Amino acid sequence: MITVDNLSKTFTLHILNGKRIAACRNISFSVPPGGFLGLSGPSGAGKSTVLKCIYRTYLSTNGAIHYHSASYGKVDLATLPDRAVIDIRNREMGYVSQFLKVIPRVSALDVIMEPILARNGVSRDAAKKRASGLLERLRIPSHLFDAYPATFSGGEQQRINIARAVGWKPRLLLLDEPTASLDTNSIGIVLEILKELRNEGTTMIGVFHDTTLLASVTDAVYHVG
Amino acid sequence: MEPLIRIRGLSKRFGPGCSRCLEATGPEQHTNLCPHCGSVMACNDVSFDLFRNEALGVVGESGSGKSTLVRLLHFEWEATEGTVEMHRSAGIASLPEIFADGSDYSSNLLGLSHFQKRRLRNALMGIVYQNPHLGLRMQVSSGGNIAERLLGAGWRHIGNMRQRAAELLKITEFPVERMDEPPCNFSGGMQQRVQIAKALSNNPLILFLDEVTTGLDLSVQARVLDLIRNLRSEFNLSMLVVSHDLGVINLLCQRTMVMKSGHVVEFGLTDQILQDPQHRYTQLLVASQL
Repeated sequence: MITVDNLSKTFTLHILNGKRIAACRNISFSVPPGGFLGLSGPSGAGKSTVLKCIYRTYLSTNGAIHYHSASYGKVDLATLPDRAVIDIRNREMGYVSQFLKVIPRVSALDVIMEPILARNGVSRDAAKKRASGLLERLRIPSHLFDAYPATFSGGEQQRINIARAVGWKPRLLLLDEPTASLDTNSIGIVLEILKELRNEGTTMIGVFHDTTLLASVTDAVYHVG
Repeated sequence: MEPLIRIRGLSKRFGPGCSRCLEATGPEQHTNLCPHCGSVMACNDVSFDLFRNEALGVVGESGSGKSTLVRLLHFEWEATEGTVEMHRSAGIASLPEIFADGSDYSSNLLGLSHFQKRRLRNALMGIVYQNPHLGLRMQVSSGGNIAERLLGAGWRHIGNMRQRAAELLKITEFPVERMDEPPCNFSGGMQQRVQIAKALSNNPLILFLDEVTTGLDLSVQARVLDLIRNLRSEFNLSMLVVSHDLGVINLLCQRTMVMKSGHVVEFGLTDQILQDPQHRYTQLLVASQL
């Protein structure tokens, strides 16, 4: 499904007189369709960098990211034109960041419904049902459904973030510490939701801080560092 | 999918020009003023594609050429060089002559007559300026401002024009019962709403937004941005969003180009531009954000 081949990312900081910072070096791994690869390694090793290179928030310095797209066939995400990357993000590739970054002044329910409506071609009612179902499972109190997530607690924001990313059932899901600010109970629920998504065929690559967690949910681990 | 408009090598020079203008201006020289002949290279060799239903961001400091670019594309100023071609699917029924037989793209729109350009603009384009005085007649009623544009697009029936103006003002959350008052009676935020209503009146395919929220207070800015975001999905618009505010670009645009001294120095996905800027100037711009 996705093969990362000798990927490196170096930042050149012009405002610090061209200082170069190597964020990750010679990363190579492969994930089969429906697989779940965990990325391990110490803080600052470049785990998030790898995910951001795949999602194209970062431009790779070297190497290739071969992805078998449903709509484009075999592509290299490192060099694919911007427009195609946007299209693949809209149809196939989801990303859960460490922090919630949503559009301000949009309610929690709408934050989750928006990608479902735009990407799954379902009715408003069906999207609303799926979104509120997810929020209930993630134990977001119902009186917060129409509130703005920007005002939520850290843990609540993270759960909204996850619900937004899984609600539309992407084909490839990149997870950057999705459980970092959650309590044990919520972690259990999130893992259950991820497991269901995998059963429906979603391929995943994830960074988890907790190594036991990492081992229990993934079926392979790649060490970055 | 094919681009709605293709822009290639677009340049605008103010002044006589000389053989050394090109080498003496640009981002490396930190100026667009040619020291040899005194010409200003406001826009230099700008090329990009604008797609259907896409919001494309243009960022850069004052004097980088952002607004010049908009004025060239809106046919307000004559370009010195370059081509602008439009896809046949834009459906310009009133100007069949600009499409050669069998070709998907029009001839160079910059080479059309003034009359043809005006028809094209009335049929396909809308613009919202930072300064409402540029886009509105301040002494004419707000509804009249919109009717004027409808007249240009071929409307003739007064009652229909009035009804259409009221509809548009309602969409832009303007107090419709005050549509007979001139824009000078209203606040800056409300004047922007009249401008947006006017820009949408001919159902444009392309909307140019030139620093539309600059100078508005924060809560008004937020509501105008919400309005623009909703309009894009509702009207299937292609938008060129010019702003020096990275927050505005981040909110509205999927792709962004960065301009400096008349040149495009970087082009990419908006999140990549903001999180992994490549060019020296973009890095400075991102690092300068509050």
